[in-house]
Amino acid sequence: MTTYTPIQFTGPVGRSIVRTSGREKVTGTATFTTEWPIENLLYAVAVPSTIAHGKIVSIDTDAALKMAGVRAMLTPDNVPSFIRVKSGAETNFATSISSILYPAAEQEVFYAGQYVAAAIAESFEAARDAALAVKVVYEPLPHNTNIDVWAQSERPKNLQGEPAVIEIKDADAELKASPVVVDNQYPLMGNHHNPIEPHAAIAIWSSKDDKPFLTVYETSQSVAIARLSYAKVFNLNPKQVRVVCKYIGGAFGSKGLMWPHALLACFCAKLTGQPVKVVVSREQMYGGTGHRTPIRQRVAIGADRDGTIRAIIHSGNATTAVRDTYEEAFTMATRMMYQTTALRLDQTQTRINTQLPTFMRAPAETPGMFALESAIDELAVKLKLDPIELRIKNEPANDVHNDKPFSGRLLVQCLQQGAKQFGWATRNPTPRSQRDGHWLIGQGVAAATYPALTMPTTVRLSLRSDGTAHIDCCTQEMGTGTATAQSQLLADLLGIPAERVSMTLGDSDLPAGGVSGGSATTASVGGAIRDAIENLKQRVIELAPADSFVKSATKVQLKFREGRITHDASSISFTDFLAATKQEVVTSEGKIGMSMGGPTSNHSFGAQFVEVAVDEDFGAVRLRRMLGCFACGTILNRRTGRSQFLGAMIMGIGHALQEATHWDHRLGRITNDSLAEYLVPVNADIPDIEVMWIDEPDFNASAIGAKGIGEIGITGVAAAVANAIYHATGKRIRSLPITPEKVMA
Amino acid sequence: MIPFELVPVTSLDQALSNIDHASSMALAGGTTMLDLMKLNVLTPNRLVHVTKQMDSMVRLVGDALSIGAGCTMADLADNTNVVEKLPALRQSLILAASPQIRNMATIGGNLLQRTRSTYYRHRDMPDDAVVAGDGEKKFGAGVDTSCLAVLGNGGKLVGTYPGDLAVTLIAFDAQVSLQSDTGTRSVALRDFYQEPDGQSQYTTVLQPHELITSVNLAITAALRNSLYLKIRERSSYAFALASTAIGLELSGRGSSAKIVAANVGLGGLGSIPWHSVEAEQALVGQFATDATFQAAAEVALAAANPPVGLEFKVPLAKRIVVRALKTLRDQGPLTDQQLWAMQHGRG
Repeated sequence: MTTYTPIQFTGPVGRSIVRTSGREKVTGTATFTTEWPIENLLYAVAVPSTIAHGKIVSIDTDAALKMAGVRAMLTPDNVPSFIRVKSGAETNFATSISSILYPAAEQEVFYAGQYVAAAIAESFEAARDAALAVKVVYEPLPHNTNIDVWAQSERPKNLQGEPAVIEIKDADAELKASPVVVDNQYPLMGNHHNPIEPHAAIAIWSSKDDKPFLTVYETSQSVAIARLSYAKVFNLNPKQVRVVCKYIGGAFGSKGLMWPHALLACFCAKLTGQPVKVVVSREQMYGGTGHRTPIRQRVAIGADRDGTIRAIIHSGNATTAVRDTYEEAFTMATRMMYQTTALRLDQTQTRINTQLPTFMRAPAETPGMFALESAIDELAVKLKLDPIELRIKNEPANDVHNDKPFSGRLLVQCLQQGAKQFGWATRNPTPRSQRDGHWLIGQGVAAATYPALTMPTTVRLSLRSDGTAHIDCCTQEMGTGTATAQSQLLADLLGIPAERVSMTLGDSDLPAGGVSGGSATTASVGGAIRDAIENLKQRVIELAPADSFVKSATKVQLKFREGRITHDASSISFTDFLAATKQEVVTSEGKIGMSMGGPTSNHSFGAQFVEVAVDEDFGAVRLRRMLGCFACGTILNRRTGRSQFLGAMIMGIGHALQEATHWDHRLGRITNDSLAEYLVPVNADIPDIEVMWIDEPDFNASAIGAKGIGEIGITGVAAAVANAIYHATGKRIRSLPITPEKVMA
Repeated sequence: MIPFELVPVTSLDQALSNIDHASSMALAGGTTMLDLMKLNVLTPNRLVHVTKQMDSMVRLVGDALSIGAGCTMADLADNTNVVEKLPALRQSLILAASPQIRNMATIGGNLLQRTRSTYYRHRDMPDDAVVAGDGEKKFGAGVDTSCLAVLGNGGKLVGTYPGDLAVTLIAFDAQVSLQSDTGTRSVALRDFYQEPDGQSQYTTVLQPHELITSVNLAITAALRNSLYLKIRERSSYAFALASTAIGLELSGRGSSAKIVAANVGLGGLGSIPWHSVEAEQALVGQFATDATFQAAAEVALAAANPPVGLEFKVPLAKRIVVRALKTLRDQGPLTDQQLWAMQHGRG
């Protein structure tokens, strides 16, 4: 018995279909947020604070106002009225407002990069030059931007629905009693997302039915929630707001919340009475938008000599902003990864003078699994056990924390099938046992995991008289091919070819979708489509002529097969049915709620394998091979699915070896705020990567059997790399990124 | 970026009369100049586009290579003489930047690229040199030292010269021809750069109304048996953590060979492209043993003064010097294929 009745997919689901947006993107016809042609458009450029904490004494805009093309300066003195709405964090994401510090509206700055004013001009260049000419005088106050200064440490209130401390039995005592113990610290530097498309917004105030109407084009992973947020800030009915985001050029979590530039565009447009565009510069993305917090972690594992784990302690400290709160649940995966007699999870956080940290691809699991999966490898070394065997030995029957059965846990299969394909069995487990010229060669493995979630989502289906079908949903196209994959799903459920189904998304005029985060879009939109299909059957029965077999059927009896409405031996094609009922189109709506409190513990699993070459004279690490084997339920499109796994694994290489936000803590400033100095992998860093998966739908976790694949691909990568470096060199590196100075012998 | 005027010129003389390197600056490939203008680090009122007025030819003149300053990095790297005879020169070009940048950047402009120090590149941050002397704290404590110099810093926090090509040219004693509106002169590249004094950025001997017009490089036996070894945090498109341009002329084979001539340059370490005359002196006349190489590496870094966080660069630099010397002794110059393997974890 599964939570949802299984569906047998027999049509386009799973096929390798080129995403419909691909051609639009490569031919330049896809319209990204900054590209909408708007008449009478003005440009605003923010003035970010250059200090980390202080009072604003004065903002001198005289020189800027005199510059050619400059229309106005936005400062706290003339910022239009607005309502100080609570942030997403304070409202369980009923709003997407990132910060209670509103742009150009505060008398005090709490982080470098906070927008204190803006220049509005007829051209981007004029606005940029004017912003530079603004002179802000501050009265500096003491600041701290360093996670290792612990003065303000506190416990987070809520880590993904659970408290900051979780205890099963006495983990300290159990650890002490364990004959084999590993107990280490894993410090991680902070990261910035760096999507190629910068954050941006165009705000247009108009009137509709004699009421003000606000249109915002915004780079957003949560268009429907953005609409509600604007409505609240400007005291409007949500019907007076429209938010549009047709394409996103990368986000990785950084566009989940509404960062201050979007409200800045609204303020500037209101002040001038003209549409205003704000584009966040690359530099401003280090302070104007969020980041992954630096984290200090401890993982201690105690085991019996046969490898049975008795105690796991995973604790540590992360950061959040002074005035706003983001709680990174980096111990979350440890709640359910391995069987243990005693468990202690314990998190603290420090408030520092930064922009708010935020979700970054696999928040919680990416940093947390680095520490846990490194520690498991260390334990395997100490026990002289194969690390895959150790993991299999400690496979839990149920979720350790909530004692629920797993919806579908295929970790062992991922490890075993991945190991077979990677050639793990031939690996000599002794460190420093393989060489290739000056390079020491090593192989490492780590587990991957990510929760299977759904976000509240509604969709509208249209069955048209020409035999096509359409999906409307205000979800977002993150670059992953959502429209293509969901069209495949609907085509499969209706029994028609995929090319006869289309989808419109990214517009708040459509039925509300959820945030495209938490790898939840596929299962959420798909789940709502499945619900809409049932409602469509009801609608078809209602519409059917009295003498039709359709009319006499129940919803349960009626099936959609091969483009036909069928009941037992009777059937009628969709087109004939619409013609018979004189309908141009038949529509239905469907919905799915937030996935919380179900009977099962819902997660995806995977296994990451890497081979590294290390020149320990120089500390140089190069990836030679990678393989990821995942179990995420139904894969709707094998081509776009593979791309998502690949992209995440590549991002994992950056997390492991390169990505780090650097600070000058005396100034309280980020110092590497550019793509030249903030390193991410380049093509030459990427080895042969093999992606495979176990194609087994999970109808406990998901109405369509699909658990989401956006994030699991990055989890475990850094640990697999560190474990491979240990295998190559005998040197254990516990801090990220693993830069040459740490690897040099 | 402040608004500027693009000055059209039809001759080099006209360009020279217009260029003062302050309010009126030369624009060639633009790969450094425009970056720094966007950051408001350089704020010339006028830009003089000189590329069309510059010689871009590469010529073999006797035993020397003459490189027009307008030649792009890509064209120089692919020049037949460079490919066939001058391994370190080719390698220091193809391991630099990206293909897109190498297609635009000129040799003259490349030699003049500025430090990557964050303090130099953020006009709203205090200069690194200003914040250096913070009482009893360690040298560079609290500062982001990642782009700061280990050699030639005069005890101050100053930026590193980031380039690759200049390291090879310094090592092999290239001469630069400078032309001004009053005449021409030739300067050894080793004398061209001047260590910074109380500021982040080096200076050069280049005078107002004067430009680099060509680079002249004698093709020696050591240059033919040369290597540019670069260590960086990723496999491509990154500045050197440390690099070395080494040439070795040997009489005999293996470690019993006598070192007839040697050239040693270091990159990613100095406030200017670094020439180690000490290392060369420690090599010439000695047998090509591991011990000789180690001794040369030691003296090359003897004057190193790393700020906090850059201590690792000293052993790293010594090791690349030793590795490069051993490679040249045992293997000779590397092919492109061998260089690729070296960058990608293949033996």
